[in-house]
Amino acid sequence: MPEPAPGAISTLRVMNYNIKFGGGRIDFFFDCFGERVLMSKDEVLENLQKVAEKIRQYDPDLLVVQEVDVRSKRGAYLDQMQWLLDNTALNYGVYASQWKADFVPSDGIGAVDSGNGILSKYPLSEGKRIALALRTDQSGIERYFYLKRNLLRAQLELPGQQSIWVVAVHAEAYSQDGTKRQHIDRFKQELDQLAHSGGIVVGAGDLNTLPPGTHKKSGFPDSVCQNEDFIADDYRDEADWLVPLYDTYEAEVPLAEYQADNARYFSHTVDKNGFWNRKLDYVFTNARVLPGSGLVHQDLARGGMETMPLSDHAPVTAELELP
Amino acid sequence: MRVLGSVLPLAVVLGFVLGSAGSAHSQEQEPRTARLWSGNHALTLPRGRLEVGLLQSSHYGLTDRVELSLHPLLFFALPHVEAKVSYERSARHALSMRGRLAYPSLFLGLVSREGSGGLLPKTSSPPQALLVEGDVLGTLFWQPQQLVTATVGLAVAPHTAFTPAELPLLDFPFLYPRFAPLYTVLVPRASLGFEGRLTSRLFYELQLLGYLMPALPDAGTAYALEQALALEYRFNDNVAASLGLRASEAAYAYGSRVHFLPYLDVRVGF
Repeated sequence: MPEPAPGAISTLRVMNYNIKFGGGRIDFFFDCFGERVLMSKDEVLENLQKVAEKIRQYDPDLLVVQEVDVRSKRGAYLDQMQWLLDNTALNYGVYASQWKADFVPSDGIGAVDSGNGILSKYPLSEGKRIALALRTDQSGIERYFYLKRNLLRAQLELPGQQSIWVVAVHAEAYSQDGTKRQHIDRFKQELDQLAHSGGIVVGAGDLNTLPPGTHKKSGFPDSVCQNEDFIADDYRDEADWLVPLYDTYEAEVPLAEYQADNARYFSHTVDKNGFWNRKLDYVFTNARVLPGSGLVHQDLARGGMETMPLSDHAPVTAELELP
Repeated sequence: MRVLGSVLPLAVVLGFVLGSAGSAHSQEQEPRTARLWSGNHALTLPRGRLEVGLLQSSHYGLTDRVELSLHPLLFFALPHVEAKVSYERSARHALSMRGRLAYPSLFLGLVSREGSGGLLPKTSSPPQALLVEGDVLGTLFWQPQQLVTATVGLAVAPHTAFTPAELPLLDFPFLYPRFAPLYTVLVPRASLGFEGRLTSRLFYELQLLGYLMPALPDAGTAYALEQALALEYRFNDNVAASLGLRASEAAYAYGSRVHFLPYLDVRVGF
């Protein structure tokens, strides 16, 4: 039985979380820390239980997730969208695949269906998958089996209140041809179009790049990949890619605060034995973010729970003031 | 050897298939043109005829009632041998048995690799296994040069013990039902096929094939239905070219899916 949707609210609690398909801190081959490709069902459920515990702890009204798997072989064929709905207070969900193939004949990956999701306590409608540009630095056969990045857009229907547009994104990580920049620009363009219609928009996701004013832009200690297909740690050419977003929208953490203390807002590391060392995850909105509500849930001190074991990304949250 | 017990019935069938070679009954003469080329029917190749295919297996008529098959290239990745033994034959019908023995461990090891072609993770450790298959084939010549063939059979795979991590389910379309015996006790199967002449040189083949795969890991009891439709142009008694389409609908752990596999093949016979 779904949880009954709450009544009118004055603030909206938003969480963005790249949950790494319930992989926790297992060392997968593409991270170059290990060789794992597939997980057992027990492993997936154990990892997802911790992710769900974190979600329940913050209790968001709106959750945007990246790398959520729906019956992928690597995730023991579990429908993780449905599982999250069943194990949190969130009642509604929309999902868009960004990597879907009945069989990937490489590395033993097999069937995969992974993508972006929007989950909410309130009804969602007008769900739409908006295709993003494909990489041009791959062969045709590689591109056929590679990720098809997208924006996932939906309308959040609050009871007795103005509806809110939500846009989820997971931008390209590994391209060398400017595809990532196109994804970020298209994300902003979508937010702009929805904002111009007069409503509130919330855009959230893993943009795979760093905020302006980040001190360390390359040479991260957890970047151990030698295979250039999986190298994604040199952001020196991307220093200003997010400036338009920060100029136009409020972020979950004001840019000035981030620039004053980068480390406090780092949200990603590949190394399970290290600590968060860069910020890749964001929430942007044209609503007002309640001052001091923005948080990167890094650990017990900042978020009330250790998040390093749960995923290679930390959840980021903010409370939005509703008119 | 987890399924040694279940191998016995098939071993009996296979033994019967091989052992029955000398006891086949000689009956009336069947249509020569239908018998000349190998196929998924109960007829065997004439003694001494050899067929070599590009994609399909090569066949050899060891005697007038025993046909051996193997794929000369695939053999090195997936060692196998197949024998079809004609048991009964008349102008109206034919009955035969077919047995196949394969060693899949080598193939599974080859596809447990990093990068392209990695159907299984490189960390897989496939068990030692044998794949044993047996079918009974019955063919009816319902019209001149028109055959309808029904088969029933089963496959088992005795193997050394393995964990799901050592051998994850190989659910690549088309390979899925053929390797399913490794993950369950036995896989029964049945088929119905039609083939015959359309014009003087153009022939057709339509085959429907079903597998039942009980208690697979993750997928539970699953099925696979395959359909093959091919047109073959036989230039003469020695050269033929075919164009075909295989379709598979199967229940996977991630849901039912349909896949297609078009193919073009050439075979020569001597």
